Amino acid sequence: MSILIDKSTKVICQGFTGSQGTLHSEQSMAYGTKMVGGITPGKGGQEHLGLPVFNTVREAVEATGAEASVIYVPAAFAKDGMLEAAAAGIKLIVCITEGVPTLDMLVVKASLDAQGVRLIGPNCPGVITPGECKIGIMPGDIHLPGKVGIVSRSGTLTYEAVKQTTDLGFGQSSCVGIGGDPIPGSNFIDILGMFEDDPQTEAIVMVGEIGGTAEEEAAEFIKSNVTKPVVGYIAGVTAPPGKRMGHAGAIIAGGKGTADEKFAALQAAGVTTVKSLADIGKTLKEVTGW
Amino acid sequence: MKPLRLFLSDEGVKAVLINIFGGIVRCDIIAEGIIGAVKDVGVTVPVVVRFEGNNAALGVKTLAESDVDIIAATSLTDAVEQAVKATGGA
Repeated sequence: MSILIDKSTKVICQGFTGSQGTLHSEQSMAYGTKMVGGITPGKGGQEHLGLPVFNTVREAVEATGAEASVIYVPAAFAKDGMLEAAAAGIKLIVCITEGVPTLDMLVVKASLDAQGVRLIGPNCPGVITPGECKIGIMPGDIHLPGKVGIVSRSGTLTYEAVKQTTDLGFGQSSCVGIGGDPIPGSNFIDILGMFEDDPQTEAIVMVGEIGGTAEEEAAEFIKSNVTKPVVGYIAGVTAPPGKRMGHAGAIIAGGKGTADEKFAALQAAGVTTVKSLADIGKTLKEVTGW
Repeated sequence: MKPLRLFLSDEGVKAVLINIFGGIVRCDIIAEGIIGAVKDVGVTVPVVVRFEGNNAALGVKTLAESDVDIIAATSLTDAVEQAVKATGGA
């Protein structure tokens, strides 16, 4: 078992023939992801990377039976891309694109939630179920099939956690980058709930960062709903208030959203927190007794 | 190169730590970039580099074989310790 995706998940790519779409589709296919086609309006009927290109997501879904779509289109077109995928019957959308306007996400989030469509991202590395399916831009070779579920707001910090759990031989059940935007399609709670229900996942690593209240809400959820051990890290301990730290959503605004508050909330919920990113693997070993 | 200049414009900066987890990028290419930038900018403080991910070992080798003085670290913790040590701190 895993969450969201596995080796049978049929995946299409929006922005397939662009540079990013091409590069990462190639790498996903090399990893074993069941890519079945792609979409670039105006290039329908062509072939790219040995797969059919379609003008619309609906045509692609009808022809291939695709269930998941990964989006690499520029930010200005991401909203239309996500809405189009949902309207065409795609049930899992992974949007890698950074810079999607927050106002666009207000519309997209409401629409997708109403349609029961799961969105991961935007502004994220994607989702991977090691050894089975990789949808996104993460380096496949640092992963190992295993028992740790990883959920994170940051791409590179996810890789750090992945590397440590691989080096220790624990491996990962699935890894989900929920992205660094103020309005993500899925939040910590959505993914934590899936990991709790997934028998393959025996422990969870959660990497948060400053800004917003997602970690505090996750802490409340963990307290009453998560029985598996959780190790948590919050990036941005030294972040100055009012400064955006790389991600659109990573900002201490009006004195709220600091790392200290988030660490405290997680600890109060029974999460084992680490003060250094480098301690995630070691701490996981301690709390699980592996 | 620009970030290095920005750092060095602040006299309070005693060392520079560059942490790269090569997800999409290759560390050996980054290494060449760092070597070029350090030469061009004329860096006067210690530079510590930690590579992980794609071609990390090759990146470290590229740094070691270059004629610029860059400290290669083996892990995140090691990088921080090396940087602190290089500044003469505790």
